[in-house]
Amino acid sequence: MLQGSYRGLTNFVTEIRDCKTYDLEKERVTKELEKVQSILSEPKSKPYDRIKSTLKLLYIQTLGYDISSFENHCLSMAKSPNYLEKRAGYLTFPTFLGTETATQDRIMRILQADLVASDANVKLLALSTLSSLSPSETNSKAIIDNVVPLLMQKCSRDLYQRAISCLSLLCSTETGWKFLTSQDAAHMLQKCLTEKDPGLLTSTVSFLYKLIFVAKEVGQQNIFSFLLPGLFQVLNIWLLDSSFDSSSYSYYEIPCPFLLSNVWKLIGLFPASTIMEFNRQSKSLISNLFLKCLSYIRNGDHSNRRNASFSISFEALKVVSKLPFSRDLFIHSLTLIMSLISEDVRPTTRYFVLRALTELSFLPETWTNIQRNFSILLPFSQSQGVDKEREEPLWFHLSVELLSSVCNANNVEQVLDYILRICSMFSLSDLQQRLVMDKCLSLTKRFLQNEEKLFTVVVVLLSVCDEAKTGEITNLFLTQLHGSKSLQSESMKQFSQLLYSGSLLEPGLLRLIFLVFPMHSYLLISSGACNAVDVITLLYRQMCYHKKLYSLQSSFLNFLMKWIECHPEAVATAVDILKKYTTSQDLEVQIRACEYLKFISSQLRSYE
Amino acid sequence: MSSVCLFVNIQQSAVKLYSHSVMRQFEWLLKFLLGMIRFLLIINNHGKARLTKFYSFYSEEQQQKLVRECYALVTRRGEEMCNFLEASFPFLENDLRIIYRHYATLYFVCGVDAVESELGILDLIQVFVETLDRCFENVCELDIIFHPDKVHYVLDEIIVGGLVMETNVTEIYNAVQLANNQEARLLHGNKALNRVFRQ
Repeated sequence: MLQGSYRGLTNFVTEIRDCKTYDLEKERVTKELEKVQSILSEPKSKPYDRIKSTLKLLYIQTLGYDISSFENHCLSMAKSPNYLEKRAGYLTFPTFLGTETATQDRIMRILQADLVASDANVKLLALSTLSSLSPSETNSKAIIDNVVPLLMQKCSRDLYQRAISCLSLLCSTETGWKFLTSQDAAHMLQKCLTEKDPGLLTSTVSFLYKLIFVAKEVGQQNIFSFLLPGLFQVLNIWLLDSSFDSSSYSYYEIPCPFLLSNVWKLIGLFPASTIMEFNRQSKSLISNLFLKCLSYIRNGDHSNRRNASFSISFEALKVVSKLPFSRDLFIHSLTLIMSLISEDVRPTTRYFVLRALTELSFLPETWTNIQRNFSILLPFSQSQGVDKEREEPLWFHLSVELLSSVCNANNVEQVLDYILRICSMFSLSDLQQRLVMDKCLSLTKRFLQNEEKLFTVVVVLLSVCDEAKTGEITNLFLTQLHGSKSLQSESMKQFSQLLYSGSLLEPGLLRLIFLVFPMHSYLLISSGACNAVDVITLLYRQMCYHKKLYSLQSSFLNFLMKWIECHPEAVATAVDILKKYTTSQDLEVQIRACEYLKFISSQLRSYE
Repeated sequence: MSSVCLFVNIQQSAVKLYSHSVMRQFEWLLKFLLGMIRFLLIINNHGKARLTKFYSFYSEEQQQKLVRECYALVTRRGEEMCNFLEASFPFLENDLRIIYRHYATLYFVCGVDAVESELGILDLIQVFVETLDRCFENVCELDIIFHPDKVHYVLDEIIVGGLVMETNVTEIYNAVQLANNQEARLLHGNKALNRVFRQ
């Protein structure tokens, strides 16, 4: 057990805890800050008091008080030759890391001095702080000059771990990148991956992930493909090598889950072709590694063990699913994943299952399994007890992602049905509306051939999305509608049924009606299925529910003008409606109504 | 591929990378990739921060807002809910993923970039807690309140600069214990300090 504490600090914490109100706490903190100020300003104060005062500052900062005025004192502490003072000073450093350049330079000078210190503990402190700095050319140069030599020569485990973490700053600067893509760095990185110590490998892989991620973003990840054999070697040793004792690093009977899932994640950054090319036997090796990872999955087990197994299996699945393996392997994975799902499944298990199924979406069996288990796959489709408001975003996003990933030309209608079913269960946030709209529009454009279904999709989308997004949905509808006679008549019938039913229509749907009715309703009117005068009366009734939507009112007035052009028998009704809008609260609507009335009367006069 | 050939490729690619356009992409990356783990917070059931550690720079005001917002996000979630959530804070440029675990009176909240593995971080929080448990023998909120320095030292053995450095509880415990013994030894050297340093 860790022993020892600074009595003054303990007393101060106790006093703060005894403060009944925020004002009392603030008063106590202010008093203490004055005391700390006097101790840290006094050159002859005892090291113990200075350490204690610095730790008090750290505690005060955690409470939410500003300690930036103590910057100089903390930097002086870090400069101190006394190790404990230095350590306490370094603890406060993150507070000042984003401050002005002069401070950054001072911090860098202190760090540079400590990096070349003979005391390994001092070096450790400096390296930990250095890795927290923002990337810059100066920092990169300091790392290349002072930190890289530590890695090139033999250094202690602690130093190595911190030094390799510092290298991550090099990923984002020109000087750093130049070094990381050099021969020296290639040798060094390859050597790092041959380490057997999982602690060293964990820090190495954390750094490499950042490096390859940056390389991938600039399309250059293949220049680091020489790391692949080393990465697979790590997996091979920890997962398949029976002579290797991994018990000391096992976590709930799973060897090094964090390290191994990170290695899989790192491999996944490379293109599939690069992964398959690195070794002739790579296919069978990867398949064996993957099966071993899957073997750790067990349902109903201890939650930490379960999470660890999910973490490692999911990252492995992400890699394997993009490689050309036999169907049997994927079917085996699918069966195993589906066996995890049940009605009372834990949230992390559900999370794993939904994401894993998304990775296996290319299998036709995945869709069959989703259909079969839809009611238990998604939490909101079965339980009423779950607080939907709070839980929905994650499940909502995962389900929509999963459904759109399994969509194809054969199942598009059912997939859209499922998506719309999920939508109808919730009041969607702006982000969710955007997600649903994007997914549905893209699926409709790619796969949907059934024109009647399109109408249903558009109507539901218009009802769940807000006004800003109706333009995009309407455009899609009109594009698809163009040149389709059957759709025109069918959709017009459905529109008129909606209108005659008297139910309140969404503004988006009304906007769509304003756009398509003047152009395509002639079939309905000519067949006598609906009346031109009734249509505008019913629409006006709908508009009475949207008195504050002035842009919608303007669209309605435009619609009226187009409508009476096609159906002159409705002029009298249209004039009555326009007169009502001349007293609208919105000036633009008022002006528009007056101008249209003037235009109609001049037209009527010219006819006469 | 021979090693000579490999290095020629590396150097050729490296030359390509120095082009202006690529460096402009780095500038973009700088904004988004300062740290894979952005912060770790320990907050109690009443919203009091017991430990705050930020691996990317956030102003004092942003830090406090993050503590408040994270508490507001996690506290209203039930035990049966998932431990991950996407969070969009109006005062921050980028969205974050929040991964948290609730133990007795404390929430351990970790903010990470979109590329970080949620399940991995969930394990990492457990490792941190197990290490604290070993260091303080059945850790409770009071241990974290009265030994903020030691909790920081434990965390510094696990995460450095937003990257995970060590996940083995025994290794972390040994390193912290070693540092603690050294602290005690150094304080022993000074009699005045020894008197006030409670063993």
